[in-house]
Order: sequence, then C-alpha cells, then structure tokens
Amino acid sequence: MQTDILFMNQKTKTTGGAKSADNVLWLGAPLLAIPFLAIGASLEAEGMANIVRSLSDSVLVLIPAICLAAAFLGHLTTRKAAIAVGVAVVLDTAGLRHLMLEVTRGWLHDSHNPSWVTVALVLFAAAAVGGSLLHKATLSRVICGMMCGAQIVVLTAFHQLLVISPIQAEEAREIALVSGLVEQRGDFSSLCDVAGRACWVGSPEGVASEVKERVSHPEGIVRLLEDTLDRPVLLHSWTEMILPSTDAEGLMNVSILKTTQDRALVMVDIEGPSRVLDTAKQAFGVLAVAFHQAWITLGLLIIWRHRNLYYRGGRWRTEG
Amino acid sequence: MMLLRKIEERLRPGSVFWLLPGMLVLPIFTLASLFEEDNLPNAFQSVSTSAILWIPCLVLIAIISGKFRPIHTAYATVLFALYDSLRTREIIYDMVLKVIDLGGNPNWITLGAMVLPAVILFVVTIWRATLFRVVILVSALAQIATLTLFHTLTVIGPISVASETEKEFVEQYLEARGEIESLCGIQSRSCFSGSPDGLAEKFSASHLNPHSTVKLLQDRAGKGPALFTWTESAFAETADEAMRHITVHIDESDRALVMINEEAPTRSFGQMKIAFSILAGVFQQTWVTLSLLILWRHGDYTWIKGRWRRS
Repeated sequence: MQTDILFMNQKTKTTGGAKSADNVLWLGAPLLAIPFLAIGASLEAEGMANIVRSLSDSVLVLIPAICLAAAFLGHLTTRKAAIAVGVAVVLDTAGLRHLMLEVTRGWLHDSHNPSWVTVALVLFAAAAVGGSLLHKATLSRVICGMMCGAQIVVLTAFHQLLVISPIQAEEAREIALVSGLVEQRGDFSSLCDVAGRACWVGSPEGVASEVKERVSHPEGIVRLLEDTLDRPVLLHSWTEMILPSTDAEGLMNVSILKTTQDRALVMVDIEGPSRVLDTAKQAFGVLAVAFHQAWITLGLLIIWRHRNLYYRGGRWRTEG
Repeated sequence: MMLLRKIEERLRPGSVFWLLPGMLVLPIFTLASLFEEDNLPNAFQSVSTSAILWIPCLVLIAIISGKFRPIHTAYATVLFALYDSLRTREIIYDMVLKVIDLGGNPNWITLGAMVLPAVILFVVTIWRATLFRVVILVSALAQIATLTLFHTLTVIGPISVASETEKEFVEQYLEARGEIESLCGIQSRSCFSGSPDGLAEKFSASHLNPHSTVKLLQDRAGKGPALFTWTESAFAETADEAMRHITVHIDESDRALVMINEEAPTRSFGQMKIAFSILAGVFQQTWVTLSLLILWRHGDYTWIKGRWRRS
C-alpha cells in the first residue's frame, strides 16, 4: 500500500514536472524572439536596409538552434525550445558568429563575411537533424527536419530571386551603358561626375596608386591595371561588393578603359548600385523574417500539441 | 438537381484521387505556359496572372457548400479552366472599363477576383463557420497577403529604384554636359526631336501607350525649359508588356527632345516577373497542398456552440 502511494506520488511529480516543461507560456519566448530582435536591430543599426539586414542575420540562427536542440534531446518541450532560442539570441548578440569567422579564417577560409558562418550553421543543423532522424524518428525531429529543409530551400530561392538577379541586372545595365558610349564616342568620360560616378585618368600605375588611396576595396581594380600593363587596348566593366557585412556595405560598378598603353580611365560608381543592393537587402530581409516567424510559430505549435510522439514499426507511439 | 446528385454519387466524391486536379493544376498550367509562350518572363507571368485564380474558384465553392468533399477540387479546376479559356478576365475588363478607368491595367480584375470572393466568404463564415470555409478563407487571405508582399518587394520596389536612378542620371548628365542628345543610341535609347506640338502629333499615332508623353508635350509647349523623366508600362494590356524610361527635355528655344529607353528596364522587368511568378507559384502550391490535406482529413467539421463537431 505504501509502495503504491509512493509510486503514485512519484508519478504525479513527474507528470507535474513534464507539464511545467510543456507550459504554453514558454512558447512566448521563441514566438516573441523575432519582434524582440527587431527592436534590438532598430536601436543598433542605421537606415532601414541595415536594420532589416541586421534582423535577418540574427533571425536565421533561430531555426538551427531549435533543430540542434531537437537533434540532441530527441523530444522538444516548450521550455527546451525557449532555452534553445534564448541561448541562440544571447550568443548571436555577443558576436559568436564574428568570433567563429575570425577563429576559422586563414586555415578554413579567407572570407570577412559572417553570413558564411550562418550558412555553415544552417547546414550543420540540417545534417544533425537528418542524422538523428535515422537513429530515432521523434515528431520533434521530423518537424525540425522540415523546418531546416524549408529554411534552406526558401532562403536559397529568395536570395537568388531577390538579391543575385537584381545585382546581375544592374551589372548588365552598366556594361551596356559603358560599352555603348565607348562604341559611339570612343570613351565613357562623359559619364564622369554624373550620378556620383568618380573617375581617374592617367598612366595605369598612377591611376592604380590613386585608386588605392581613394576607393575602399580597390584590390580588383589595382590587380587588373597591374596585370594588363602590357596591353594597349582594353575595356572591362564589372560589379563587386565593398565592405561586406558592415553598415557601409555596398556595391560598386567599375569600368576600366585603356585606349593606349600609357593612358587608363577608371570609373567607379557606388551610389547607383548600392541603392539597388539596399532594396534587394530589404526585400530579402523582410521575406526571410516573415517566413521564419511563420515556420517557427507553426512548427512549435505542432510540437507543443503532439509532444513526445515517435515513429516505430509503421506507427506513431507516445513515449513513456 | 436530383440527376446531378446521382451522377455525383456515382463518381465517388469522397475519393482521395479527386484531390489530384487541385494539387496538379499549377504544375500542369506552368508546363503548358512554358510550351505556349515564346519567352520565359511571359510564360511565368501567364502563371502568376491566371493560375493564382484557382484558390478563388475554391472560395466560390466554399461559399455555396459548407462541407468539403474531394470532388470539390475537381469542380474548382473546371471553374478555373472555364475562366481561363473563355478569356473571362478580358470580358470583365471591357465591361468594367465602361464604368471605371483601370489605368490600362487588367491585373486589377485579377485582384478583384481574389479579394471579392474572399470578402463574401468571410461574411458567410461569420454566419456559419465550417472547417472547409475557415481553411479556404485562411488560404485565400494568405494568398492575398503573400502576393501583395511579393509584388511590392519584387516588382514595385525595383521599378521605383530603376526609375529614380534613371531620373537622377539624366538630370545630372544634363547638368554636367548641358545636353542629353549624346545619350541617344546608347543602351538602345531612341530619341525624337522637334517642336513640342509636332512631337505630340507624331506620338499620338503611336501604338505604344503615348498618353502621358502627348499630354506632357501639349501642356508644356511654349512654357519654357523643362525636364521630365518617368517610368511607365509600354503596352499594359498585352502579354508582351514592357517597361520604359521616358525623358522629355524642352530647351530655351522651345525645341523638345523625347528619349525612350526601353531595352534595359524591360530586361529588368522580365526578371522581376520571373521572380514574382516563381514565388507566387511556389507559395500557392504550398497553400493548396496543405489546405487540401487538412480538408481531406477534417473537411466535415462545423463550429457549433463553441466546439468543432463532425456533421
């Protein structure tokens, strides 16, 4: 009889503990994380494009955090999800992504863009959930696997359609403008000082040293001028990133024309393409944030309602 | 009516296979558009202006019938096929045009065909809420919200930026060089010069949406120097629709120059159409699949006295 009472007490205690770990109020933390991060980003960054960019950078780590928790713990409770999201927000705010980028630079990559750390984290989380699903298919892991897959597919599509394509269109537009002028008038100097375009003209060595001083991220221009010293005629026009992942991040259109071996004309346009990049960043950020909020809300609500289910022998069963 | 009911019963309206027309309509329509249209942006645009009306077709059925049966997806597909093949949008457009000026854009009809049934379904759902109506209402509202967001971000935003860039470029070029004629022929910019009235007369005969240019030239004739740059659709009513930047410059001697840059904005616009259509298509497929799967399992619930009850 005493053993029975003891057992019942233990059972009640366990059920009570499980209930508290699955209390719906814990959902508040992951569901409100994005609005909270939005307030943080608006206080920290300047300009709408940078606010959205900063927010989307932070938001992208939330799904990997929840997925890693599901991969290692098997079943997610609302409390565990809240802790996972809380830890992710704190680490991201503390600059873990930048730290990881610094630590791995040199031996693993040569990039200055912390977005690569996010990409690595997203892929690692997807692989972890995939691996853990093979071991034991719990409902939490299935849902998280779908969230990871959706995140990868949606972000790739958004990035391609909203960022890469407009940048390519901008590059094609500038190339057509510059080459059209060269074809018709022999050079593009009539564009200098128009809509923020800066030009340098002179000997290739002189222009290279001037560009080095005046342009942020001049490596591509300088290298091209040095590599083509022996070429009398050339026209190159391209678009590249400057200061990636900073508040001053932008794009620049570069055009280089040589009509004789000792005369080079270099034109750099930062204003126009940076405006295109700003719009692209805003579009990508808004969609990424909106869909993360949707996936996280939907995923965690399903996990909360169906908790500790797992799939074995062709059926969903309840754990314990 | 009895006969129709009997025919429907013979078709096994509850069979899961009836979900297929709804789930496959978008992929099949996309493939058909790719074969039919001569260029990719127009093929994708055809998907985004027509196929998105499949959900509104199901909305109409949800208004009439509160309980979902899988055969309803086949009815919606037939409705959609009729709408598309009978060129209903163009017929409605011509009718509405007699009452309201739609600015030459028939996409307002598509928007109306999405919003109006959703509003009616909302009212009907308040009157009698069934799970079928609730799920389809959520899908319809989600479709309207995502399409508005996608359209703003992928089409309106980039067009505004391109328009602003061209305006600034032309203004500063004129300021620095004192003329813009040297831009003629660059990036396929075509130029026309002459007196404002003469040009206005010349453009009136053009089939390329000349209204704004003609009106501006007529308004500014004899009123001194002016520079206007704007972006507009070249032929809003056709599948070959294109964007163009137009600059009108009138100098001190009342000589007008009209410069039209069509190639570059049209190329960008083509990319925007592809981006918008892909996003619209993918999310529509997601909504449709998710909604139909939910309805297949729970399509006969009704909200009565604060609880969901099976009919």
